[in-house]
Amino acid sequence: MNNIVSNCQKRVLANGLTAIFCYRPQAPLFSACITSRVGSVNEGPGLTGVSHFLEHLMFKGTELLGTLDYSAEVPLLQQIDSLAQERLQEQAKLRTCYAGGQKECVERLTSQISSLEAELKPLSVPNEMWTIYQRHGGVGLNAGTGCDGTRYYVTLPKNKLELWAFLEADRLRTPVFREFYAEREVVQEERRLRVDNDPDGTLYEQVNALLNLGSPYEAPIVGWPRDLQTLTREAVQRYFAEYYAPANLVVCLVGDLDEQEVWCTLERYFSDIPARSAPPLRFADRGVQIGERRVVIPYAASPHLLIGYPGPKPGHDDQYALDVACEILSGSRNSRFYRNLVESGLAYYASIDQRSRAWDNALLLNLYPQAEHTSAELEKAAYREISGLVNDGPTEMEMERVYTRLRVDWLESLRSPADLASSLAEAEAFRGGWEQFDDLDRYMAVTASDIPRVLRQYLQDGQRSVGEIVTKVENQSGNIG
Amino acid sequence: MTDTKGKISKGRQLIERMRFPDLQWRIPRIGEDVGRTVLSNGLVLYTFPDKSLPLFNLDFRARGGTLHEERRRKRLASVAQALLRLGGTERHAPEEFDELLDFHGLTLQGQARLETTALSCWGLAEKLPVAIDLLLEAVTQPRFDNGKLDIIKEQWREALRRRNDDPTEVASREFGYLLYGDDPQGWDDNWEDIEAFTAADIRCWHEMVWDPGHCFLAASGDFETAQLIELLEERFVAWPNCCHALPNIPALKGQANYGTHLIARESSQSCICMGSLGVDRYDAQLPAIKIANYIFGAGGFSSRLMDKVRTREGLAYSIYSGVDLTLRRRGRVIVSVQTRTDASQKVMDCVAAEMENMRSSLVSPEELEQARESLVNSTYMAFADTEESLRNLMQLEVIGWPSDYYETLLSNYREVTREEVGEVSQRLFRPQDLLTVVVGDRDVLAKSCPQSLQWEQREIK
Repeated sequence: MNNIVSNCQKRVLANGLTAIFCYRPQAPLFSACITSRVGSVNEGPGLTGVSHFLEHLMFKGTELLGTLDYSAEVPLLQQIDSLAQERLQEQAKLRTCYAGGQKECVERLTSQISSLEAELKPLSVPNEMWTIYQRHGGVGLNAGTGCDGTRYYVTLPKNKLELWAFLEADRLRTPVFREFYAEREVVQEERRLRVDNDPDGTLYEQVNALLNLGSPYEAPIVGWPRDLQTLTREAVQRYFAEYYAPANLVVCLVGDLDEQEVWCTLERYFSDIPARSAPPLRFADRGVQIGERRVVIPYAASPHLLIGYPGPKPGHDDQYALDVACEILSGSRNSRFYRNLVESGLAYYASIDQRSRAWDNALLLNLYPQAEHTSAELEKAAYREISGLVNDGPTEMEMERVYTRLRVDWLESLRSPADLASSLAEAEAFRGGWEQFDDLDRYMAVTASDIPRVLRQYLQDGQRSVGEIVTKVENQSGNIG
Repeated sequence: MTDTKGKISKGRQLIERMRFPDLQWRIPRIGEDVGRTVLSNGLVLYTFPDKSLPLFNLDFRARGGTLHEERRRKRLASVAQALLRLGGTERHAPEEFDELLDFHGLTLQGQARLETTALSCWGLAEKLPVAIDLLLEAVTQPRFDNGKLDIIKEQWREALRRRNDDPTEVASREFGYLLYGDDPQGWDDNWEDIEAFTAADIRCWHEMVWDPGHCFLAASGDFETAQLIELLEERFVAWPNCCHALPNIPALKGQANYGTHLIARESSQSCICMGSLGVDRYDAQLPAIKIANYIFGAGGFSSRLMDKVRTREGLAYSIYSGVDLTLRRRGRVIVSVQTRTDASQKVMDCVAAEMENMRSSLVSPEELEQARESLVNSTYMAFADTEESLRNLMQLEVIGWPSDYYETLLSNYREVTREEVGEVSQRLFRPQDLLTVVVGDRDVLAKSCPQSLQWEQREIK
């Protein structure tokens, strides 16, 4: 552990970009994680899903990559943008009862856009960044968007540092959002897959909205369907310009690299990305909750309950105490939920965990009843278990068990360079500094007396948001659900 | 119009001018980097010490999995494995055993697979001797507690009730059932069979599978190999080799079904699985098969399916092909995709057309080069982690591949030609023999895709 800390260095380039390097010589490779402090919390009405969509578009090439002739693409892209804007207006008119939009006009514009896209195809080299990475041994190539941040990952052989720097700096400097409308369809397919046709995804989206009513966390990361249908390339470009400023980025490298070479390479490739001021921070406070909120969702699936509670501010001592409480309640086969809810035959699955976010945390209680029992029975039983822990406090054995488990999990989390790069970048971007990735001591400082206190404080009846899936029998075959 | 023939992007030109330092990297070798020892009881031990963190990992593989189950015993391997973990030992009641594991910060978990059963344990290096004792206790003195067996059965019952909640899983499961028919891989789960399992059935299965004569152990992490071997020899005296034989895996009868089957479900997206029976692990052309599959649909964004269906048409978030390559008998060739309901036929046509393209014309030199380089480099990267390396190397012996398999594979990739890729594509991609399963909205499909009215309707449990 000390070894890891002493092998980590941080520098801030003149343009404001923060870089962290951690020397790990175990294998001849390195993992990279670039984190931008932008997620669904930054979006606002009409733009929901833009952070995630932008993450997709960041793989569409640049002025140098993904194209055989960028200068020939520019006028075509501009014409498409202009027609798309026109189409959007016409679509908006169609949705109102007074503006008199014309369906034929939308169809004509769509056809014109398709023709221009066909002209673009011979000029483009789709997915070129992916193929180059794969060809050079890139694995774990991926990206992910959350409420607060967007991350780009890859692991490469150690001799490919310059390749990585070239590709990543290039896309941060001059990304070109090609294949925009096809990719917008892809994102809508992703939403259908993960939310609309997935009972767990549907339930999560509804509970998240209830729990964060009035806060920027209310919208789903993937975006509301209407917004996804109306996002334009111009809007995404503006969003990129605002949130991908170097001062809003953290680059982290972990692996078997020479430190001097790392700093030289970063300086050489990233320092000429023009400095821009970091975007203003948005407040994300939840409004006042005046009682329990509840939504019941009929769905062709088995019953499922998801219950959310607002958590403490991130980094507060109570966050650690609540994690320990969650571990006691559902962290292992010796936990109270497992012994008293699952083994008793009430629950198929029962868990509670805390989601840490930049502005406020959330606690989620996840309950799947066994068929012989109702969701209501299981819900009451889960509250009983929580009350039991509040009233009696944890046993000494439970606390010992959790301390040991946390220590092992902590060490396990250091094994992979990719995981370590992600943890360091996360701590630097959202928790006040990369050093904060080592928070084991804060867990060890939690005492048995903290557990009832935090459960009482944060898991209040009037603060919960409850979502319930009730089984709906389908008309089509009657054989599902 | 710009002439783009034979051109490459400016970015690619710049990358091709880069000079990367040489990197000497090789696959770890058994006998050099990785230790292999046969213990006195017949168990084969692989060791790969790694002192970078004070942790260890023990990974057992036993030959014997779900393909060895009998017709009325489907899921016996899985239930037995769950009970091994939860059912306690002769010395410790189930709850005591769980408490001990947790107290020492040890994680123990297992899983039954098609031909093997896995049991893994990991934790702090200082707990390795305790872990060995507890593992040995679980394997040699299992209690198979009846109360826990009832709990596991009830969990299975609920899993069966819930198994249709996720349409993607429904498509994949029903595809397997239809493809294999009357076969261990084609038999549907049956609650009455699972309910009838007794502790005696489980014990009988356990004794057959967990015989050190067909067990392997991979140990990685912070330990001294000589000390570990000494400790295991001392402890494993209590686990004698009883030479239990495994039943034969039944011969495959051939592909059971063709055509398109519809499982009706109200939804805005169809989940589609398409494919046929493929090859077994003894196939002489595995490198070419891997390359063909990469180009067709396994190469992520470098694959044809991803390029056509996602990138160019925007019709799917995820589409990929898989070819089972490690089974003793023919595995699946499968394409899995989800698309909005009204695009279902278009996507299915696109997949079939790409199969036909793979068969009828040679892949381009660029495609072959991309697949080859990517597969070679990712093979090296799969050996960057000691735990993963050891698991890969031990698995070679478990399934009967030679110990230099990966080194040979790497050089064989270089020998694969476009013609050989075409040859294996004829065997892998057979649009005329396709089995297709669609989980989707029957009413919407009927309007957008009239062919769907001809599809076979499939009712599911």
